[in-house]
Amino acid sequence: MREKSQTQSRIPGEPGIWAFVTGDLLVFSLFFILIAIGNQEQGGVFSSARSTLDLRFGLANTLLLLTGSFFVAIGVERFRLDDGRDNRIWFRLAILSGVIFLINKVFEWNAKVSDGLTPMTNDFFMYYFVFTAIHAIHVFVGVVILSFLHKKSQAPFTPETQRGLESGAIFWHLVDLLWIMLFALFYLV
Amino acid sequence: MTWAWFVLVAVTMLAWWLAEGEQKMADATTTAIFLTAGVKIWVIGYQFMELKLAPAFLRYGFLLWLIAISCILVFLIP
Amino acid sequence: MSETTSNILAQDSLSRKSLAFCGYTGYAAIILFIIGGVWLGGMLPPIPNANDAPAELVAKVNDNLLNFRIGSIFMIASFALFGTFGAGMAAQTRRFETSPVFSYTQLVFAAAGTTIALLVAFAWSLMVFRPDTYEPSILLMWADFAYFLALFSVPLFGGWCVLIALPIFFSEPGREPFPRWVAYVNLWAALLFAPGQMVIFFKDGPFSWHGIVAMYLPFIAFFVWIAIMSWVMIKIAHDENS
Repeated sequence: MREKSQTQSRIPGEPGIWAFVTGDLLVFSLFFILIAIGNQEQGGVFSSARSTLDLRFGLANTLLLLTGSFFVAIGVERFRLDDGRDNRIWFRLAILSGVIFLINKVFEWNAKVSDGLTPMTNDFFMYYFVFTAIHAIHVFVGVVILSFLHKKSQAPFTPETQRGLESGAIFWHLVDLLWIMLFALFYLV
Repeated sequence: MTWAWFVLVAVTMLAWWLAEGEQKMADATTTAIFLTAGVKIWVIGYQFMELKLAPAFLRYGFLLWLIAISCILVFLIP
Repeated sequence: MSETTSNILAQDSLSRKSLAFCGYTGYAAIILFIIGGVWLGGMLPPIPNANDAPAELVAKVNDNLLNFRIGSIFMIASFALFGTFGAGMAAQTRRFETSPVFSYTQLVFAAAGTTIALLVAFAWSLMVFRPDTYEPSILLMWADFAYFLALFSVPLFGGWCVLIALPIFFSEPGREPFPRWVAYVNLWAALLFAPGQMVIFFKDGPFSWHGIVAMYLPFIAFFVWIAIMSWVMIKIAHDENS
């Protein structure tokens, strides 16, 4: 029986993924606050360090993840329509955006390290490298999950499959969301 | 769904433009940056994560967290 | 295997008691660590610091000698019970597998994790065995060793959690070794262990082995994880329908 978009509310995906999202948000909130406190205590160090970051990398990465999320959302929506179309393309595009993000990150880190900036240089770069690394692991896990979703999106429609797709998608959107905040804290402020 | 993406991209570009410019009014810019980040995160939650379909407690819980963390960060960043 | 023999514990009181036993040893491990590591042993919160000068560490050790020694004994007892705790989870996973892949991998990781944890307690005890005979920097090495074993081992302890979650996700709905929320809790635990891998880069600050992100988070998350999984095992053991 298909679950159409209905007037009655339902939890997207399954409750467990929201519990995980809550946990992840709490942990990253701690990270955000640590960055902010560091910024408060060492404003000069942070702003001069921040100015060495290449805003173009940050912007490109933000747009990549936003677009990836967009594709995933479309993919899930199309799956629910169950009209026989091949929805895998959306997930492939999202995987592509994730992979490009990671490649971008590696280039960016590399550029910093060749300029002599490492996690041990100062507190800004300590937070920058460690938290973008932890986020990058999330992106990597997200790409792995997307490859599962890619396969699942061709499966026959069942409520379980829909929930599974939605849950995986929610994780991907979480990854996107976390980056928005990191982008603001590291690149923009 | 598409409009959501357009909004997100537009807001991202706005925030980038704000940050690029010489800000004399640092505090206002900081607030604006977190406001735009907040809007983006809300749109991601509401549209992409489909909180618009979810029970109220999930939606409002998310909103509450978003407002709380935005305020804390704006407060902490001088 | 048929439903009645493999999946219903109801007729099998030994299996029930065994699983409950393993759950209770998890609780015991936590209590023993609270006595040995938190109260007496100075492991959490950490009395040594990653940026201690060796002479400073010698002084700290000498100030707490008896407490640390007794604490080490409680810690060894706590960490040995990781074995029973892990075996219980593997056995429960085994009940739902026809080919025991994940239960085997869980056993391997549980055994490795228990060994690593025992080494933590060994390192701690050697740190306080003859602190004035060893070079001070050797004492520092024992402290480093203890924390690195506990924290730098994310692929192992985090991997253990993932290996508990995966069979849950891979099973048919309704035929899962543990409820689905347990899978998500394990993934979250793995996430919380992850910052521990950073201790290699820092000797001070939140990512050092005495730091809030790389030490407190993983340690606390680890014991909360044991508490949750122990509770789940005991619940399954007592639930007539499982």
